[in-house]
Amino acid sequence: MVVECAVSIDDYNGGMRGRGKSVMTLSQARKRNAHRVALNLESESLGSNFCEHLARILEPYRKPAEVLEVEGAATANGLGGSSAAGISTRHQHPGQFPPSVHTVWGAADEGEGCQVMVRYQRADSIGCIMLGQEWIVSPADDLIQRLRLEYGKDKVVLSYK
Amino acid sequence: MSENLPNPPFAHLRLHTEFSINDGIVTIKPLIVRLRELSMPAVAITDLANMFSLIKFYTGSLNAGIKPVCGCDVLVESDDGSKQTRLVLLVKNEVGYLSLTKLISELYTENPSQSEPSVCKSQLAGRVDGLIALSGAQNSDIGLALLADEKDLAKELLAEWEQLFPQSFYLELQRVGKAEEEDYIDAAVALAIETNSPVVATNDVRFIDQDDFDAHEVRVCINERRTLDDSRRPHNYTDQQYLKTRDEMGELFSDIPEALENSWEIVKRCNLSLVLDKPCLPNYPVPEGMDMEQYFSELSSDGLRERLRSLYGDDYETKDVEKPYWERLEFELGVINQMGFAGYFLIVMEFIQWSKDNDIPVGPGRGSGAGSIVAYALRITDLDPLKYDLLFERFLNPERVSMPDFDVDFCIEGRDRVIAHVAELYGKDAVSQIITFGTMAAKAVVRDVARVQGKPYMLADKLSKLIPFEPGMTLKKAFEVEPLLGEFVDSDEDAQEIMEMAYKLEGITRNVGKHAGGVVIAPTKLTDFTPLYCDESGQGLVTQFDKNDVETAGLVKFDFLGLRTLTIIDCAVKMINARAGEGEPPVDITKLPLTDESVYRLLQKGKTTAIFQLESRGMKDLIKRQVPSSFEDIIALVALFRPGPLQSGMVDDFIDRKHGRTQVVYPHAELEPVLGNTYGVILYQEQVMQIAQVLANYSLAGADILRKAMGKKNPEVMAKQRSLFQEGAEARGIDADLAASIFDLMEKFAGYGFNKSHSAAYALVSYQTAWLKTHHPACFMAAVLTAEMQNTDKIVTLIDECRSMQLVIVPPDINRGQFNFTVNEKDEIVYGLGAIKGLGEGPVGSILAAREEGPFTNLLDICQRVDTQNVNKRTMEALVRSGALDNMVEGDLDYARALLSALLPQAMQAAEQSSRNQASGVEDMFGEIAPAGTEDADLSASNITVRAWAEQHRLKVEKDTLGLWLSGHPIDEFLDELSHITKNRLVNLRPERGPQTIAGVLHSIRTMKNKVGDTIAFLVLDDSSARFEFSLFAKEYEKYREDATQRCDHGGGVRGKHR
Repeated sequence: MVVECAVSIDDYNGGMRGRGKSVMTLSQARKRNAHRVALNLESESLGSNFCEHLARILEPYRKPAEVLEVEGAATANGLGGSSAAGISTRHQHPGQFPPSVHTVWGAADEGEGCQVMVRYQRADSIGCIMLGQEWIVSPADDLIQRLRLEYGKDKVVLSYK
Repeated sequence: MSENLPNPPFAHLRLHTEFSINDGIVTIKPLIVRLRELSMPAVAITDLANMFSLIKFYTGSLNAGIKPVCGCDVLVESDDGSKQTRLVLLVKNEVGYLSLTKLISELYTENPSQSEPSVCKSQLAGRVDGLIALSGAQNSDIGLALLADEKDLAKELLAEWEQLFPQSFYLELQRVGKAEEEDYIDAAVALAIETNSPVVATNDVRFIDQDDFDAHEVRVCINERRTLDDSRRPHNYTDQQYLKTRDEMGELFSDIPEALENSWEIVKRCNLSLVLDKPCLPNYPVPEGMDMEQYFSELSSDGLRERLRSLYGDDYETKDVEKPYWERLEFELGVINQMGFAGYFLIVMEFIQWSKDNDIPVGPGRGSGAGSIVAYALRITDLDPLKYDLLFERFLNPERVSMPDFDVDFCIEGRDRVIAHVAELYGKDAVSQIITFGTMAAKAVVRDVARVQGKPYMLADKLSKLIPFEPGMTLKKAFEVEPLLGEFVDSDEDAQEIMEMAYKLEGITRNVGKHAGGVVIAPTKLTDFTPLYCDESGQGLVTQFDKNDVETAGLVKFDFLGLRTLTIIDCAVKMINARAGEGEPPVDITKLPLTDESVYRLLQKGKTTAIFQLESRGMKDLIKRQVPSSFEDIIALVALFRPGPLQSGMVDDFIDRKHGRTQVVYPHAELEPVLGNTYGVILYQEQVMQIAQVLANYSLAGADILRKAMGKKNPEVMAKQRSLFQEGAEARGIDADLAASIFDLMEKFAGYGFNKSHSAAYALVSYQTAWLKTHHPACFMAAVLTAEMQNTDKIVTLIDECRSMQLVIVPPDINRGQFNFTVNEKDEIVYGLGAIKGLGEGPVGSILAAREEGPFTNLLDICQRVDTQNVNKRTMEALVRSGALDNMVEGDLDYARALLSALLPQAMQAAEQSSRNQASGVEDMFGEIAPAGTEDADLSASNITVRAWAEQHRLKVEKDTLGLWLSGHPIDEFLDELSHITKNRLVNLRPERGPQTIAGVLHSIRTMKNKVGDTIAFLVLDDSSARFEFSLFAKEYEKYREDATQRCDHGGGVRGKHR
């Protein structure tokens, strides 16, 4: 629970007293403030179908097409060069989101969503791959948990504005 | 009575009250009121096979000028056991009362396994002296014979009954609208004429008003666990079974006026005069050649010498301290002996000593008994009454004869043994526990009624949950304090229907139970005083009269109360002494100096969780303000922390005076010795008494009467006392105005005054626990945790407290834990395996037994060695989830628990196979019993791929099994992330001008209404560094309530996946 709270001295017992202004869940706070989900991955721990797998995980949390309308689609902005850069072209299903997607993006305070960044490391090189705009996802609890379960809890890092 | 007698006179002689349990909803007070309204000057109560209501009925009706006829409705079994018929027995006189008491008691004690206690006709001979019998109308054996047209048999049976009840047997006639009623009446009247036997009319009353019939049907269904529309439900009652008027009965039996007249004849023949309110003390066996008083006085003197020795040393005689003690002893002995209570004191002394000798902890005192030096000398209490100004007259007043009443606290676990010992000593016929009556309370009656009416369970559940859980809650009160209840009932027709009926049945007696600690000891047989009752297993002998009635009937009650704190102290002291190094003296909790500064420092910091009487939130606040620095301060705390003193400003005054913020002034200089300990504030009842003694020459006995009068606020008595006080003050030369104003002051404070004897005795227990917490924190907390093992909420708070006390908690471990919480050689608290949900004494016992051969090495080893009868899959799962098996595999917690969980089915199967092989003698090639599957299941971690549990999942199942998070905190995973959202952890939170963002797991919510009636919620956040409480005002509260409540219910996780 994340709380906006006024904290003052309690004259009665000398301790502190709080008066809450607003209360939200961590998920809501994330949606408002997080802007990037970074995955720190090592080549040896990845399966051969890593790209498809990651796409399946991200899919339900993608920003719906109508949100993307004005932003246009962009391809992945690869910095180090990797096969992962192909995700965006192979898995485009605009407008075909499962119903749950709309609940993820349903509330008014959804924020702008998070870009997904894969920081990839192998014996001979390191690189960051920023997934394209069409892979902007809602940083819902379930997604973050799923990613952590999949790649390890310390491998998934959220960045805040 | 006689000049107003109606013509024809009639009295109801067959009536079931609510105490018949199976049926009847007549309650006694309204019955008496109605009888007066109907000018019916007599009535009989004939409950089914019990006399539960007899004393209430007897005293209540006599007070209202109505003649009580006592009786019973009994089931009679034919000698061949084939038929059960009814018989009404009415008490003619004292002999009949004893006959009935004995007969009804034996229904239970001689044949407890009967579900419907009945008596055989042949067993009645010689046991019904002084009783009148009504035949039982068409449900009697005669009635059945008549309806079967077996007139000769009926005649024969009648002759038998008349022989059993010479001149005292009546053929009973009823017209309540049942089938075959008139056939029976015709035949019965004919039989009566033929045999010249008397007839009597009854109305088999079950309720007062005809309108109550429906409520009665519901009551019967509740008892029979049926619904109203159950097609197989017997319809045994009619709407005519109400308390009919004389005229109605006259009209109904206008053809048989004798039947009405005979009811009055019977009333005239029944004249029972009970001796009530005259306590008959049990006898204490004294040595031959001594009388009780002499023996008692000697024991008391010897006891006092012992006490003086331990208070002032063996040479106390040289110290000029003993005089006041001996004077007090002599005075008390005089009073006690003169009042005839020596036996009572000796009995209490005996069972307390027995308990102490048999390792059953006993409290240092409770209630006003601690004011007696005789009790102190006889070791009934453990507090020097002179040292703390505790007054004997508050306990026993020679000017106001009342029974002494020692309430004694025992360790809960030993209490039943003490009761068994008392029964053994005074004879099983003379000792019993006391009945209690369970009534249909608000929450339950709503559920019961809804079920009987066939309403949906969800509806009943919702209604019942809307009624606040609070002792003494009534439906009326619930509607007042919970507006949602009214709103809901208004909006739902079914709910209205339930409520209407629930109102009618609320408070009706529903079942009987056993009073937790009350024991009566009779000087002769119990049945000379009270009928007895016991449950179907033959266990739990209780009196049929409840705790007040049993005393009215002349028995003396002893209260054996259970106090968990005594168990805790005992357990802690045993642990401490078992761990004590060589040469270290053992701790004797009864000999602690009450001046230990470190104990007071602990209290002053408000670290009083788990300290007896001082641990509530409000008390902690009070302690921080009062800053206790002496034992007297602790006594005052116990007395101050009550609504009266808190609301009246007495507490603020006390604290300001203690800290010198307000000047300590005494109403009169002579009162300084009386009020000095409380800084001039009148806090104790004893002080009120002493003021009257010091200023107005009252004797302490007279002062006790004054104190009582002040508490009761009877204007007449007060006026009398006021002039007495003023006269006394004047005689001592005290100014009249001052005397009057002091009297006013006393009057004001007497209402809030607290019994210092009780306060002091309980303060001693508080001090003992505080001492243990200060000097032996690990043992003390382990003992407290053990005592609260089954109470998960408490465990959570206590583990928190341990953490804040910097005590290390060794998490559950199958190789280290005992059943209880224990302390290891490093002073760490080892988690008790018994505190894991799903592990009772059986499973833990099996584990510990198996562990005696050596520690467990792996999962299969456990499965093979423990007794699978006791330790099943669920138990093993609970062990895994709690973390108790973490050390059985390598790897971090999430991986270890996932792996163990995955391996468990295999391991259990392999163990079973192995034990089957063993049973059938299958051997492997080396001649050993084949440990089938060992190689697969054992350490097969390398063959199995498991994904580690998510941290949140681990914590969630841990909380499910332990009630708390032990291996981490759900917030740990998010701390890094939260550092971007919040500025500070809760522990570093500081007041700031503007709002700040804080985060944590929702720990708890409580709500209150503010002055304008808005609901305010107080939420506690926990981020593992600290907890912080904040309020959310009505508007915000409403907005977030649903979300917040939901989160708390789910264990307070901040995220959703594993909730």
